[in-house]
Amino acid sequence: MGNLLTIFIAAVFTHNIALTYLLGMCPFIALSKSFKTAFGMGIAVIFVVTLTAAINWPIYHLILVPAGCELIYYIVFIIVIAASVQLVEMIMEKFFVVLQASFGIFLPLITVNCTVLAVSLFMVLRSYSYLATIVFAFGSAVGWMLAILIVAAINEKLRLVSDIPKGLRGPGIIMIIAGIIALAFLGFGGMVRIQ
Amino acid sequence: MNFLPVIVMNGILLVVTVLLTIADRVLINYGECKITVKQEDQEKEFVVEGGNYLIADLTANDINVSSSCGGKATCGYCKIKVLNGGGEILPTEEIFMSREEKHDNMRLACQVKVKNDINIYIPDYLTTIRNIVKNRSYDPKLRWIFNITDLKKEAEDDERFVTKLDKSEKSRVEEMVDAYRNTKGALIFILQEIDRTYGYFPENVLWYVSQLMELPFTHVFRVSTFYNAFSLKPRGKNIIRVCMGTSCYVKGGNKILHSLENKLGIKVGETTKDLNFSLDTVNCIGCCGQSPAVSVNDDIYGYVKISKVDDVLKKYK
Repeated sequence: MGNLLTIFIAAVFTHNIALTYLLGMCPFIALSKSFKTAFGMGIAVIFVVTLTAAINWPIYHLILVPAGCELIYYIVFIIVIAASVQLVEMIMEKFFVVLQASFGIFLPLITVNCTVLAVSLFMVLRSYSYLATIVFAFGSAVGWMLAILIVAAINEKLRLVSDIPKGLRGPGIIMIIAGIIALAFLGFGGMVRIQ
Repeated sequence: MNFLPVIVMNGILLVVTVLLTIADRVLINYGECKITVKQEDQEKEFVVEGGNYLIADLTANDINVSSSCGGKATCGYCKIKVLNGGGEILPTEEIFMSREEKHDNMRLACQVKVKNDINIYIPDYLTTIRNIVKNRSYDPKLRWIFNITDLKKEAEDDERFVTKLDKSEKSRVEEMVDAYRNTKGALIFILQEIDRTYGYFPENVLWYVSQLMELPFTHVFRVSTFYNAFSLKPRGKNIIRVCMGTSCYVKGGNKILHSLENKLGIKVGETTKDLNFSLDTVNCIGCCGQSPAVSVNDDIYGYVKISKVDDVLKKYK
């Protein structure tokens, strides 16, 4: 249990997937203009990352490892992620209209997001157990959401009060903000260790 | 040779494909939808199978909409106008749209799902770009038209108070700045000077001042909005200040204010349309002995009554 907590804290803070590994930058930059959008995106990422990691673990350990073909896990993971997200989106559109309106529309945007793939790859590299994988995936996604929410909130405020030079408006200033926040997250560095 | 990876791979692909096909058949069924596309130089109509994103259907029918992110709503280039049948605007699109565009029902083609008959208009700047690409030629006249219409629109937007800084005005501002440049707290003096000259702070003059003083615009803006005596909006030739200090209030300053508001047809802090009067309140002008007091520009009127308000206003008309 203590181990799981460590993994969770590490995934959210010390090894934040957006700010330490700089993964998932594409939606991170594009959607961090308003807090509301960033929140919907964050929820979608949490959902997809946790779900795909939970599907990919059994596929890797029950199919690929016994068959002795671990080398194709990259391509298998990508296919599984893309397909499962498609499937979930279809199901959601048909049966859960409210959920679809709140975060379902973000799902197609992250079918092949590198955050999602990275979490599945990390779980293999660090040889997590099934439970640890789910906790790690959930924590990583929460960390990503935290990062995008912070940047979105700052960005929203910034646009109201400050006079950003023309060349820096948009992605430029977001990169700088993300850099400074990443520095702040570096301060969590020694808190926990992850193998 | 070991064929196992290939077999496993194909097995997984097969399972996935079967699952998706079943889901596609069972879950998604919008039937046939008609898409009507209107462009500057042509109109097209075609029938597609529903359920796809609009941009995919358009591309399949040889209508190119610019897009660089491949339908992930991160570039915001595939803006089109949906005339009817597209549903509500999604939060993924909102960040790319200005208020005006939202009102015009502009959408990102990569986010609109075709679920029923849909009617769209592709803006002419896209047509122009398309023609440039198609003919591999660039017609400077077209761009020229853009420029003129843009300027016209700008002028209409600003209507009354467009102040473009021409050379003479630039040198006037430069003079004011130069006069105080080496003084301590120069900005306040310069702003006072501008207030005396223009009666308010035109935005482009403030920008120019911040450039000349090498100060951030925010700094200039902060100082110019802090003081009550300064205004960012044009103010009238004559500024009426109604005293609302304790004794003036007790003696009916409030009623004087209301009658002025009614006579001029404006509220406190506003300016009449002919730019003759601005109405303000003030908390004391040091004439408590003559309450209620009203000051117009530098003249002070004591013992004002509602019946006297007209006489005061007449003097400045």
